[in-house]
Amino acid sequence: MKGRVFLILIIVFFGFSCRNSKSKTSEFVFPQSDSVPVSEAEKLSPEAIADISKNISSPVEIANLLQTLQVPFSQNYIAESIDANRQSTSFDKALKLGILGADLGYLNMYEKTGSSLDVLSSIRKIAEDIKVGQFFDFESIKRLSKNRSNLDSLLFISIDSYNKIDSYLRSNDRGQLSALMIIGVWIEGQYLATQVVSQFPDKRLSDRIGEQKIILNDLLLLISPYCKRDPEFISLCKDMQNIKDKYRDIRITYTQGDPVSVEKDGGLTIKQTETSVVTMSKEQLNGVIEITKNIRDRLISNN
Amino acid sequence: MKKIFITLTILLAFGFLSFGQVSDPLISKCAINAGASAKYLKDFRIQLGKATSQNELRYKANMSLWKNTKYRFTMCNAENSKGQLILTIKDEANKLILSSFDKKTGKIFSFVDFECQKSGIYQISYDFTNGQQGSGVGVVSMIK
Amino acid sequence: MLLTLLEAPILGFVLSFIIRYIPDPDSNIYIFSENENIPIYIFMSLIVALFLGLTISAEEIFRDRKILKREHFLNLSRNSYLLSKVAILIFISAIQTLLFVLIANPILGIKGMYFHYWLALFTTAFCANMLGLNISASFNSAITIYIVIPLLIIPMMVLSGAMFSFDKLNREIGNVDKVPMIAEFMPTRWTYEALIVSQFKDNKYSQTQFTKEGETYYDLEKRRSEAEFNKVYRIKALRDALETTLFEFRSNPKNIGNNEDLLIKKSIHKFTKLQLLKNELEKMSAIFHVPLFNYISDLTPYEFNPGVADSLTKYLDRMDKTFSRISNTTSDRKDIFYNMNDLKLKQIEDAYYNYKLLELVTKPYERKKILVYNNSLVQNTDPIYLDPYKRGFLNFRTHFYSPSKYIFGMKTDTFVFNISIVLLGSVFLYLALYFELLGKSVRFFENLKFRK
Repeated sequence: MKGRVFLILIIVFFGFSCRNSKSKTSEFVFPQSDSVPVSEAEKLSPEAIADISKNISSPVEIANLLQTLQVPFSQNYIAESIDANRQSTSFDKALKLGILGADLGYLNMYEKTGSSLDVLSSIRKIAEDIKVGQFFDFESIKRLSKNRSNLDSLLFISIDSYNKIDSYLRSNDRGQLSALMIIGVWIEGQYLATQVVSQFPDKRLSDRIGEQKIILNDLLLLISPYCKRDPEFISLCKDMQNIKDKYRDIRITYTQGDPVSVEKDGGLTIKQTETSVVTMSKEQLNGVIEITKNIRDRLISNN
Repeated sequence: MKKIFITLTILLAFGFLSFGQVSDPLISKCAINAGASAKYLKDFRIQLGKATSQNELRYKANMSLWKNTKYRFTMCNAENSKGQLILTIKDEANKLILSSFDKKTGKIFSFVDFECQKSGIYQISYDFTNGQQGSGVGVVSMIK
Repeated sequence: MLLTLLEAPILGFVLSFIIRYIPDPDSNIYIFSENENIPIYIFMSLIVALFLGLTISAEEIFRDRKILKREHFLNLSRNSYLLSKVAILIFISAIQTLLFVLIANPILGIKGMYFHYWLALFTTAFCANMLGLNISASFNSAITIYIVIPLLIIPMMVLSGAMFSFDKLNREIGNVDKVPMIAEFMPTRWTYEALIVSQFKDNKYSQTQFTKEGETYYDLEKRRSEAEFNKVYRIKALRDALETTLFEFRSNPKNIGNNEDLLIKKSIHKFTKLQLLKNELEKMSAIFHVPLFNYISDLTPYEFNPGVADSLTKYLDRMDKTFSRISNTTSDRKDIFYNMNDLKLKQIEDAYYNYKLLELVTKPYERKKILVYNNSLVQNTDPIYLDPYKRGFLNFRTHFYSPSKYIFGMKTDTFVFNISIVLLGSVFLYLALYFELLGKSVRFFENLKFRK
């Protein structure tokens, strides 16, 4: 009998002391209005956005250049500190998806299939979180990664998945996520190029970095409708503007010339003789290298 | 109980909808056509009906091309395509850089290699011969 | 007696100490959200409760058999004898599980929810107690009793849903949209689900209010999951079904030309997906409060025509946009609140929310996220965000990790329902004990052998 009373007392005690109450609302700050500000007037048409998104150079191209310059692969450039579990807002997720996509391209080009599996599973988790996981053919990518002779298919599927995600986000009123993804890809590609050029100062590489000025305006156009949306966007837009400032005094000039065409093996080869010339001083290059590193490291560190 | 299980099994076997992605076989074939050493970069899927006027190429897209890179543009036609796919590339100043269709000889090239020396945003245009109806894929790859 | 009481806290300490995992090799700080062993801990603690419950009760009545024989002629109340046994066992189980939880949970950083953990463990142990009493009253030798114990424990482990996923079992046992029938008899299946669902849904982070209207993090994620599933999978499946139906309509000879003879013959080509369309449209409207398709009564073999198909296509497009909007606004509201309170929320998230658990209850890597079964669509992803569709009065069976259950037409919380079911089961076991059901069947089978 005594035991039973004792038992009931314990139950009651725990029932009262450990009840889960909803967190007091006074602890948190709530937003004033519900709607998210988007400057409608500045919003680009879907076609314009589609165009821009096709423009941004793929990290595959940068990796290709690195391979041409015989730069060895380095694991240090990969954003390994990105924790797929810790991306809290869709801003974070979309940006990381882009950054990791660039890393995936880099890993694929260098055929580092073992390391690419880690990046792949992070991509998978983040893609599922923003509900675009259905566009990633993970099984095929994983399978192709294991078989090295299928580099082209691997590149195709990876790039194709990203393109599908991009157009899905745009057509479902989530254009801001698509813009973030594209910017993520570009920033990580820039980071790659600028880190390598510090160690392998090749003119072709520094020229490629300088020439990014050509598409910088498009990138800013892509993201400007969303700049007032929330603190994360405000900060990113400021970063992009800072990058643009570093590029202000870098000049690109052109020399004239007619293309030379040669027929070979049933196909046509066109050699361009006109060139683009990049005028960039060492300080200017260093300015770009530094700001890219700072911004990129800050973007991936959000822990 | 067993009947339910058997019915269940049969239903399951015929039932489920899967959400797999099937990549277009024409694109894969076209990418393979680009050659073993070519690395896939981008593709354009073109489907056009009969053209009303035959001046401009109808499918237009912008693409950034970078110097010190060799690109290969491969054209592949679908089986049911009436016309053959042709490509032209113009630069930002609307100057013609290349065309896969030689107007003088009437020759149509199935691929064009482009050694880019001037970085910029180029206008890539596709259409089909004589403005005919057609369906095809243009693959852009990088080659050494 | 002392050993009996010490067993639980010792096991609790050993278990929790061993699995207190820190992923970052450079860090000494334990973060609850990153410990991947938490779901397994929940399972193991229930197994510990099961073992403890069985072992302390298995010999109880068996031990007394000589005394019982001697006192048989005294005509003492069997009920009071049994109740006294039960009372002692309740007392011991309660203390054991309490000590276990008090030691193990803090080591693993499981904050709050002590009552939930204790209740789930106690219920399991109590049920095991009743099971043990039944065994001890029914068999004639101690050895038999100890042989029977693993025969009970192993199925309870295997069919708890923790070791093997219910949708990856032998098809004879498995089920498409519900937990397999045989697993429903395992107390571990109920208490494990109760704890997992409760830990995921009722922890401080999930219950944090994210909007002024009182919606919690869990509520927002649930709404988003529902909208996304509808948009990406359900509506797509319905579009495919519509296309199939249209194709079947066109292949129906009745619809090619106006041949009177054919009309008279009434050879209706079978419409395979029409019922599915009808069911799903009704379901979608009922559950998610979207307007019902205007021409739903025309989704019959006789009424269906391309006009209806066209209307349905437009309707599905509208629904697509509606769900898209719901998903986007929910996501935005979540992000806005998070951005305004990120530091505080991150702290709470680290301490109360577990990522491995999230993976377990949302099944993100499941390939076939939607299935067709019995003219309806079955959702095979995000089970924790899927409320069961209201069924019959007594039909309470649902999928695993369901956040709520329906019984008698009412919606109840999973934890409450599951614990109640196990307690009810324990009461039945007591009645079985009183009426010596197991003992009688054992003796029946033994007599059968002799007759041969």
